[in-house]
Amino acid sequence: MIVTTLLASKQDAERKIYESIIKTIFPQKSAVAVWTDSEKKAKVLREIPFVKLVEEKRSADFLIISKTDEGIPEDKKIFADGYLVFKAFKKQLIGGFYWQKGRANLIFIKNNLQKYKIDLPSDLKKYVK
Amino acid sequence: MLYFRLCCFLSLFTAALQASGEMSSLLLAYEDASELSKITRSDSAGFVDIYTRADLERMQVKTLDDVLKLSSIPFTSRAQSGVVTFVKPTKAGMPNSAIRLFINDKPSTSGVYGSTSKMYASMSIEHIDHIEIYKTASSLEFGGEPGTVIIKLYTKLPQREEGGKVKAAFDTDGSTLLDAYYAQTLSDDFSYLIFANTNKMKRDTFTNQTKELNSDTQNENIFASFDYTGWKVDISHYKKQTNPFLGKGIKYTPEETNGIESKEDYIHISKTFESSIKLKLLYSDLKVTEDFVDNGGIYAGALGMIKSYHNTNKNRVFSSSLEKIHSTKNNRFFAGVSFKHDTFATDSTFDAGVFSYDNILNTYSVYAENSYDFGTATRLITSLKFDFYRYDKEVEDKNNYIARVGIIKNIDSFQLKAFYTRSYYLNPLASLYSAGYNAPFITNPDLQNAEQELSSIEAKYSGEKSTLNLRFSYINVKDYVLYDKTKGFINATGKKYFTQYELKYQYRFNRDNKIEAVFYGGDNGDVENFSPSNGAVIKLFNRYNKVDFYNDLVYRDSYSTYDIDVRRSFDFTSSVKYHYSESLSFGIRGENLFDDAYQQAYKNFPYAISVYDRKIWFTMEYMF
Repeated sequence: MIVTTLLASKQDAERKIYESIIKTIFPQKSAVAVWTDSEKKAKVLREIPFVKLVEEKRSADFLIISKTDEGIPEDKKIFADGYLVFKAFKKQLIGGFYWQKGRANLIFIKNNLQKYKIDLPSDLKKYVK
Repeated sequence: MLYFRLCCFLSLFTAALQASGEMSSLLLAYEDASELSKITRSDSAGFVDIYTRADLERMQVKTLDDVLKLSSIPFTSRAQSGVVTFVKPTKAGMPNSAIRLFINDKPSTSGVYGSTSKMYASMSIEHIDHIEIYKTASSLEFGGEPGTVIIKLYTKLPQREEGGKVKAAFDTDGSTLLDAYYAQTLSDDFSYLIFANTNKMKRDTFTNQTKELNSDTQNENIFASFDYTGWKVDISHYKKQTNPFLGKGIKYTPEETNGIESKEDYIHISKTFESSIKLKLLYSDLKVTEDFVDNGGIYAGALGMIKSYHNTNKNRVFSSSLEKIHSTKNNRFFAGVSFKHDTFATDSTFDAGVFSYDNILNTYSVYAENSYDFGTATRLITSLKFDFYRYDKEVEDKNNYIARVGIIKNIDSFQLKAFYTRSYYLNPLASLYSAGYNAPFITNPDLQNAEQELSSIEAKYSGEKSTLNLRFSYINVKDYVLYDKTKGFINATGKKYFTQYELKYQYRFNRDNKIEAVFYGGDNGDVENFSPSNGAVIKLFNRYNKVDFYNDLVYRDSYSTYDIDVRRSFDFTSSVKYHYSESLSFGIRGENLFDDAYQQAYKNFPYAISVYDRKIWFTMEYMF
């Protein structure tokens, strides 16, 4: 009863966060193909109307990664879901959403934003590092 | 009081200010919804009070007793030996065995004393994420021996830390504290947390017949938690020393000695397998040394009055348990078996008399609990536990059981909880066995465990920004244990009853600003009261930009005992924390600022003594 409601609140907040991130990175696309290695993340992403989950990394526009042992194509736009992944793929990442110091952190990496010519809206600019 | 009114005004003012930016709000909402207590709390275990990570940080608490001080029922006081005691309204101190403390899955267990909860009351909690306090609960849900108050401490998760923290603090009385922890995930399968603490707490001293009454304490703690492919290993070393305070003498004229030194080293291992079977293993080595000298005379059972009291208890525990959960859509069935092997050794020197003895206690337990959901609005809970106690020497075997039935009903914004529990208080070995020496107490190997029946009900209303809880409990105890100076520990005839109630209200202006208030009371049905019959606790949490404000007021009513009239008390704490950056913060916390905190009366001592000191703490915290 109670646990189901609480999980729904957390998922709801996470869905809105990823909705905002994906819309910012792909402002022109009406449908974005997303690959993820996390079933929990897939559950959240399925609720975003313009996101289409794909099974192959190669056919994805965007990869959300939670494990460090994944072979990631170097030409793909990727996002870290976890601090270990953020450290491992920092050079290629557009950014990451992970816990650190007891807080939920959202980070965008300046060099890669410039490389992919991604323009952030004003309320996301403060998360650029 | 003017300062308190100013704080109330500030709380309302800052509550009107909202956080800005949509993503900021989403991140805060996500953090809120991900609060770990939302996953760990067990509403079916009884009435629960939660201190979240955010609460603990903003309150600037240093040790567990900073949190326990705010508890309504039971509230905390101080024994004549200087250690923390737990007290229900109108009553004297609760038995040790009634209070159970868990650090993650590890229970505070001691066959000699009943529990080590009081020892851990002064532990630094910088490595603790959140605290849950269950009242009128049996411990069936959490394993371990029975208890009516369960304090659960959960350590921080490495997956949410990925870094460390150092905290240094000192106060206006000369106390010092140093905490440090580091937590990290090294791979997808391996993570760890390491914590270290040392502190010296300086307390106000008093004088009685030229003797100094000193309750300073020193603590040291090293804790490590590892998680490898689901195998969780907690290793701990905790040591606490408390100066004698009033000592053990009948005239309260203690000499300067080491007082009480407690030390526990343990390793706790747990693993939940894919089949939903959970294995728990514990090895614990506890040593408690009591060192008191009082030329006015110390009561020591069959030895009569002595002057020098030196007693060391060693308690080694090995325990193991296997538990299984079977869940379907509407039903959750939980069952377990456990075995605990306690070995005790006591070495005492009372004046010229030297005594040594030992014993073993094996405890076998089998337990089960079932929760069935009737639709989405009603849950029925039934529990049963059997405990079999087998002593190696002299003490007769005991078989006891705990039975519990409860219902949780949700109707729109209302929730009703009702429980009936039949349980017992486990007698510590110190009351049962002394190898015939009957010192320092006259023991009774035939002493029965007191039985209790507990009926409790809670009505809760949850609004969009507020919650209101009304709680009531009725407890009656049969075969309760008394101590008679000629007969020793005995089971009294007849029954004692106790009623308690609480009204708790919380209003959340927004994520950063909230107010909580609790009003409580109790009645023990006797003519004589040993503590206040009612009290209240009010807490204000506020934030403005980079500054956290926290204020609390603990009120306890007046009471009369031991021919002393003790005045009502208003214990006011106020703190401010400035977050200079994401990594560095500075805090000031003033405690008992009105110098009007709760006073404890002691038998044949001429006046009541304040349990809490007036002081100001200065703190620096750095995260990396």
